[in-house]
Order: sequence, then C-alpha cells, then structure tokens
Amino acid sequence: MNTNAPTTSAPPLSRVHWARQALELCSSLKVTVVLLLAFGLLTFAGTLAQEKLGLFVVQRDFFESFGVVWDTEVWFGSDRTLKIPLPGGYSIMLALFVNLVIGGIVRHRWHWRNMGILVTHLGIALLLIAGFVKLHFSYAGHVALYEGNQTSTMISFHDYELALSRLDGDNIVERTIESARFDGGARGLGRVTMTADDLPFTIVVSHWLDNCEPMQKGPMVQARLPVVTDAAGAGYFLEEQKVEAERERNTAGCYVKIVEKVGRKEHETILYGWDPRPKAEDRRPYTFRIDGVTWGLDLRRVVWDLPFPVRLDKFQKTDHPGTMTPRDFSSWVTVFDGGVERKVHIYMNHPLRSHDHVFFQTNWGPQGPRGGAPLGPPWYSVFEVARNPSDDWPKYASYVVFAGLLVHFVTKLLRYLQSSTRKASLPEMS
Amino acid sequence: MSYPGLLLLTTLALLSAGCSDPTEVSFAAPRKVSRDQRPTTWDAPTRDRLGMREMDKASAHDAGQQEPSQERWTGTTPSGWEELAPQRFRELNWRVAGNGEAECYLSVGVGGGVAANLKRWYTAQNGIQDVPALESLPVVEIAGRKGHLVELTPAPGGKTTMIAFFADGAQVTSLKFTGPEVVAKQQREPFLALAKSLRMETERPTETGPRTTTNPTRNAPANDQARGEKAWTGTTPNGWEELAPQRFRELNWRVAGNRETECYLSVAVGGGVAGNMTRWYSQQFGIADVPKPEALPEVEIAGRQGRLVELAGTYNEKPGMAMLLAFFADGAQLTTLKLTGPEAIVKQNREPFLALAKSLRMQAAGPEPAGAQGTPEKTPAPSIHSTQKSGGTGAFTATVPAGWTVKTPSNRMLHYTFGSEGEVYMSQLGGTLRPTLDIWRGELGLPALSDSEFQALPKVSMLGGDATLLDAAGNFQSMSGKQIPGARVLIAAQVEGTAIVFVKLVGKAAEVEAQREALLQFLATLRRTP
Repeated sequence: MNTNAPTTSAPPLSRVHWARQALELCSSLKVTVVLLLAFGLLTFAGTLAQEKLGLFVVQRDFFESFGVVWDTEVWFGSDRTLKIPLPGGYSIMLALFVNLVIGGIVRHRWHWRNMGILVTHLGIALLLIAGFVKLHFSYAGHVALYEGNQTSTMISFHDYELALSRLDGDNIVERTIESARFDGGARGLGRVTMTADDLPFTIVVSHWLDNCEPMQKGPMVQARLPVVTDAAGAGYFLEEQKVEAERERNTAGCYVKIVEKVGRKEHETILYGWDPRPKAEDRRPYTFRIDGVTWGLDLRRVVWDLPFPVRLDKFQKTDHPGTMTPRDFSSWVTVFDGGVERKVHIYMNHPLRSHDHVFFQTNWGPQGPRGGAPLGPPWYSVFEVARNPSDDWPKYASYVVFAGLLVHFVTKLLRYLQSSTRKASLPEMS
Repeated sequence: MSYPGLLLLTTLALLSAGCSDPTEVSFAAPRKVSRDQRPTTWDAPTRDRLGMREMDKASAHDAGQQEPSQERWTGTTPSGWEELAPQRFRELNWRVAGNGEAECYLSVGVGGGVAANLKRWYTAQNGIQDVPALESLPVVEIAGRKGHLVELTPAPGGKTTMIAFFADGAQVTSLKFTGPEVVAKQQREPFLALAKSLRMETERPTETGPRTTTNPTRNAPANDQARGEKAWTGTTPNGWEELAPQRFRELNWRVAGNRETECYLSVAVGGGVAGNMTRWYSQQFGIADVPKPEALPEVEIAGRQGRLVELAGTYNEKPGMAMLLAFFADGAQLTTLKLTGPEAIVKQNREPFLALAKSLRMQAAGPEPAGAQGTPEKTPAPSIHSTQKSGGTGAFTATVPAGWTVKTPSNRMLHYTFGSEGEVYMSQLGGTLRPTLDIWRGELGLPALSDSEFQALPKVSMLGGDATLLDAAGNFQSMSGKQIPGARVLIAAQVEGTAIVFVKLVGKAAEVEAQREALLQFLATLRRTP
C-alpha cells in the first residue's frame, strides 16, 4: 500500500452540517413569512414617518436602505419617543430574492406538475430584479419649457451636484460630484476635500445646508455662518432655513474654498443651488482664474443629458367653468430624434416614450393668477422625465406570474378531475 | 419567531449601522459637452449668481444695510413725446404728447424666450396666426445691441404696434409702441431713435445705515418712490415685522417670531369675486359650501368698503390653520389682504389685522406729486393719496354741474349724486379697456360688445385726450349689490398705461338723459392737477 498516494477525503461532517443549515435557512418558508412580516412592519413605520419626514426621505431611508432606526415620535408624541431599529427595504428585498431563488426555484422539485409554481416564482424574481435595476440604474427629473423653447437636458427634482467646468473652444469640459457623496461630511464643522491629479487646485466644501437662503451682510444683520466678501467688497453668507418635508421646496447651499496647489492661494465663496429655469436657461457659476484658465464652480440640481432634444410647440390648459381649477392640461412637443422630427401630444396617461426615457405631463406655470397670455407672462409646461431601463419589466413579470398561476391552477383542476373520475370508477371495479 | 428568522433579522438590523462620512472625494471623469448644451454666464455678479435679484430681498433691506447696486434704464425722449412715471412691467414709459392712444414703454427681462413672445405679440394680442421666424425680421439697434423690429397693423386704419427687442437667453427686453396707424407712421423714426438711445446704467446708492423708521412703520419702498411709482402703504401692527415685497405681494408681513404666519397685500388679482372665493374656500380650505359675497361681514380696507373672509381648518393640507382675508373688488380684479397661520395666533391678531386693512393706502409718490389744486367745493386738500376719503378732493379738478351734490364720505377720486338715486364718480381700474366695458355692460345684463360695436363707440374729450363713451341701458346691478331697474349708464373711459381712468354716471334712464350734457361739460372741464 502506497501511503504517499493522494487521498480525497470527505469534508468534515460539521462543515456539511453548517452548509446544509445555511441552505435550509435561505430556503425556509418560515424565513419567507418573517421577511414578509418585517416588510409589513417597515411599511407601517414608513407610512407614519412620512408625515414628519416627507416622501423622499422615507423612501430613501426606509425602503432603499439596508436598515433604519425608526424614531417613533409621530406615533407616541414628541415627549415619549422610542427608537426602533428596523431592516431596510433593500435588505429585506435582497433576502427575499435569495429565499425565493433558493427555496422556490433551485430547491423546488423540478417536475412538470410544479411547473406553474416554478414559473410564478420566476415572475416574482423578475419583479424583484426590475426593482433592483430601477433603484440602481434609473433616474428621474424634470423639464420645464416655454412654448417655442427646446432643451436637451433634464434636471433632478431633489439631488444636487457640484459641477466644475472650464471652456475648451466651443465646448465645456465638465466634472461633477453628486452631493450625496460629500454632504454628510461637509455639515457643521465637517470639511470634505475634492481633488483630482490633473487639477491645479483642491476644493474644500464646508457648512453644507439642505435648505438655506443667501443673505447680504449689513451693519444690523447678524450672520450665524462665515461672511464671504466678493470682488465688489460686499459680504454674503448663507442663512439656514427649516428643512421642508417636501424636499423639492428646499434649496441647498454650501461654502467652498479653492486652494491652489502651487502657492496655496485661496479663493473662497458660497454656492447656492437655485435654478433660474425656465425663466432663464443659463447657469451662473462662481468664476475664478488660475494660470490664465477660467474655471466655473456651480452647485446645481443634477443635470442629465437627454438622448434627443425636445421642443415645446404648444401648451394648453382649460379650467373648470367659473374656477381656476384646471380641468385639463396638455402639451404638443417636437422630438428631434436622429435628424427626424416627430410631433407628440403629451397628456394625462399618455406619456412620450423614447430611448428608455418617459415624459409625463406633470405641471405648468406660472401658477399665479396672472399666468398665461395675453393677460400675463406666457405659460410654461413641466414634464417629469424618467429614465428606467426596467420600465416595462414589471409588466412582463406580471404576465409571467399570471401564466404560472394559470398553469398551476389548471394543472390542479385537471388532477382533481382525474382523481374524482378515478374515485367514481372504483366501486365498479370492485 | 423562528431561530433562523431571528438570526437573519438581527443580521439585517446590524447592517443599519452607518459608515462614517468620507473627508476626501474625487471628481468623476471629465466629460465634454457643447456650449449650447450648458448655457453659462461667466463672471456673473454675486447677487445674480445667488439668485438674490429674483428672490425675496429679505430682511437685509429692512435692517438698513447697504443697498445692492440698482439697474436703471435711460433713454432720450423724442421731441413731442412726454415721459410718464414708470409702472409695473414698464421700466420706462412715454406717450406722444396730446395723444392718449399712442403709448410707448420699455419692458425688461420678460420670460418665455423669443418664440413665445413673438407668438404673444402676433397671435394673442393682434390675432395674426402666422408668426414669422426671428431671422426674417428687420434688424434694429436697441440699447446699444443688435435687435429686431416687429411692425404690426392687423386692420387698415386701426392700431399699429411697433416692437424693438432683443433677448438674453429666454428673457426678452422690448420697447413697444402702440397707437393709431397714422401716428405710428409719423413716429416711426423717433421710436427707432429712442430704441437706439436706450441704456442700462448701474448705480450703487449711498450707504444709508439703519433706516430711521419709527414704530409703527410705513412700508413704502424708497426706490419705488424715487421712480415715481404708486406705492402701497400700511401701518405695521405692533408685534409684527415687515418683510420685503415679493412677486404678487405688494406689502408683506409676518407676526414677529412666528415663521408660520404670513400676511400680505395682493393687488389686482384676476378671476373675480366668485372665482377667488372658490379658490379660498374649496381649494385652500376644502370647504365645499362657498357663501355669497353679500353674506360676508363688511370691513374697511384701504379706505373702501370690503368684505371679510374668516376660515379655520386644514389650509393647504396643514391642519389647525386659520385665515383672515379682507378684500374689495374693482370689476373682476380683487385687492386682498390675507393673514394665514396657526389658528390661535390668527385669532390673537384679528384686531391688528383689521387695523392694518383699514390703514392701507395707495400712495402716489415721486416726481409726479398728486396734490389737488382746487376742487369744485374749493376744499383744500392736496393729498398724496390717490384714493380720497373726502368727496371732491384728489388729483383732479372739474366744474361741478348744477344739480350734482358732492357725496361724502366716498372712496372715489370724485363722487357726486343727482336725482333720486343717480350717482357720478371718477375712478380708475387696472386692466384693458374692452373687457372692462364688457363688465360694465354685464352690470346691465347686456352681452359683450361685438367687434363692430366696439369700433363704433363714440369718443369724447377727457383729460386732453379721447375717451371712449359707453352708453347702455338695462336693469342695473352693481358688483356691490346696488340695483336700479330701468337704468342707464354713461361711462367715459380712457386708457392710461395699464390703468383705465373713467367717469361713470348711472341712474334711472330718464334722469340720466337729463344729465347727459352736464356730464359732457364735466368731462370737458376735468383736469389733472399739476
């Protein structure tokens, strides 16, 4: 017997045991129930929290996170709060997906009699994947246009970005950082430094405010935050405002210090994320020059380029008789798609779909009593624009689930009918 | 709960522990976009960059800090033209001397872009469907820049419109002339010379230090006074603080220390009484039963009789709120003073609110002092208020025909009574002429004027120009509820800028017929005081 011959030994029993335990856990029906209950609790908590925090924050913190600490102030009252840690919607959905795939598909008996259940599970898995893709690969914003104007960009409702730009002939070279990456660190006394090897300066962001107003310093005006003096000698500062639950009503701001890498010269200013559109299309960045190059630094709502320019040809709004409550409003637009002009009428439940982008008619302006020609300024139309690669997947998932359930119930029915026939024929045989 | 489930949930909850925020981040890779895709104004002044011109000028103004630099437009007034005081949306304002129908004004930074404004001028205002492309319009010089010229005469012998304009992005600056075709032809060259002479100057007012306001304060923007505009004033209640005026808020306050309260004056809000009451009751407070205006308590606002709306409940989806709103109507346009806030605070401030409403006045200020010279009754009284409390005083004088009696008190500029229930008064409204004439016809139960009827209306002399004379009969019912069966109305109305100055005579048909000549004499002697 050659004792040096390689031997293939079986894994230790305990390792097999744990692996089996893990597989059991992942595929357990009890876990499914626990996850669904946890999701119910999360939905309940999120619904209550929405009253105080607003839709955007609840969606982000409760349903798109791994976990959240639910401050029950709304439920119990502000004097008796209880903080309850909860799993976030993201982690519940992830666990549910694993549970579904392992328990409902991999470990399920692959037999034609179970085909309906398997297909149904596949449909639900597709639904969860669609949610995942939407969360990570989609974005939504808006476009506001006066009649006759066109644009090829859309703007986020909520999110900001710091945009650094410089002229390059007929182009603008632009770099951006989403505020979500630095606004946490730049609050209060925090500082966040932004850098790139090929830039001759670094940018230090501080005093991030979710909602604020720029103010001009005067002898009687108290400034809680630093006052920055501009080239004309006037002092400005940001005044913090109460953060509104409706996030789009807030306007963020921050202080920035640009430090040249050579010579350490500093340029200091404040940035304010207001948007002049649709009245004016132009952005007005803080302009500074280093080594003869003109740079612009801007805090703006995230801008995305559309794959096609769109022009508003006509906007129409009709009111209920005797009121200023709109009965209907809709827009006629021209889409310039690869050199081809396409006329589209966008109105309620009839969005424009093209290149993974969906344009919904959502609003109009100005909303004051003087809006609308000929009595006042012309109207502008507002579209919500969403880019979602998985836009249609939930529809397909529903078809799959429907098909699976149909197969399952038809199979069950046939088996029931077969067994009934068999039972009915038994006495004759005896 | 099962063991595996508990284990999983614990793991998930532990994941909720957040990571610390980074102190250093990197930019995304650079990307190149065309200039057209990112319209950019480089080196914008700080106030423009921060949007402070567009926003509430905020408390800095009241605190007396250094005023921001102001943009001021200038232009060389053509000979034979006269300059008028600037108005809302009219930075500069002229008319051809002695011709009330030929007016010219400069509007700065009107939004909407070139295409939308061309459409507005051609289609909405002149009924011309074919709007030409910008490139096809003649090029002119305006304010030292290249601009374009629009010339429109929709009907031969009718009104001509000339507009010289240029655009900064979506904002259009335009010099607009409207007048009879003959006059427009004569004034074309002076108009173009005026367009060429326009300039914007930037001036920085001297540092004033804290404004010497007394308590109670009067809220009248100094700049407006300097420009000769009509400014609203009101006595700020104790414990309230003034805020800077905003768009659609001529005057603006809040209860000191309570950011949830707001009180503001809105002038010339369209939509009529019914439309606005529906908005306040149904849309803002979710109250389906909207009462008739006559059922509302009366209140004094800006020296006039108005109505008071008091509501409590859920305001714009916020529970526990209340609103006090005093208003009066001039035709379909309302002037409103509105206080909203938590119910308890609004209740506490009911009396100060009513006092504020009572104290409101529209003040004619600046280089066109509105002091009255003589009045029919020789009452002294030059007053800077354009709406007067005592009859027959104000910025106009006229010889009062026999049989007319001065009505006191009155909120009209001039006000008289005659016969059994007839009255004559002079006043002014915002808006445009034709819809206003239709509103007056509506008071008699008559339909709107057709084009030919409108064109055929006779003209009478008034204030050195031609006024349109409306003569209509029917059962009269005014907006305030006054009724005269078998009535007749004579109204001489003249457009001045965005306002309509008019003299209205109303009474029983037979009595009005007897006063027709008296009215024409009255109009002939009517003068604006220097």
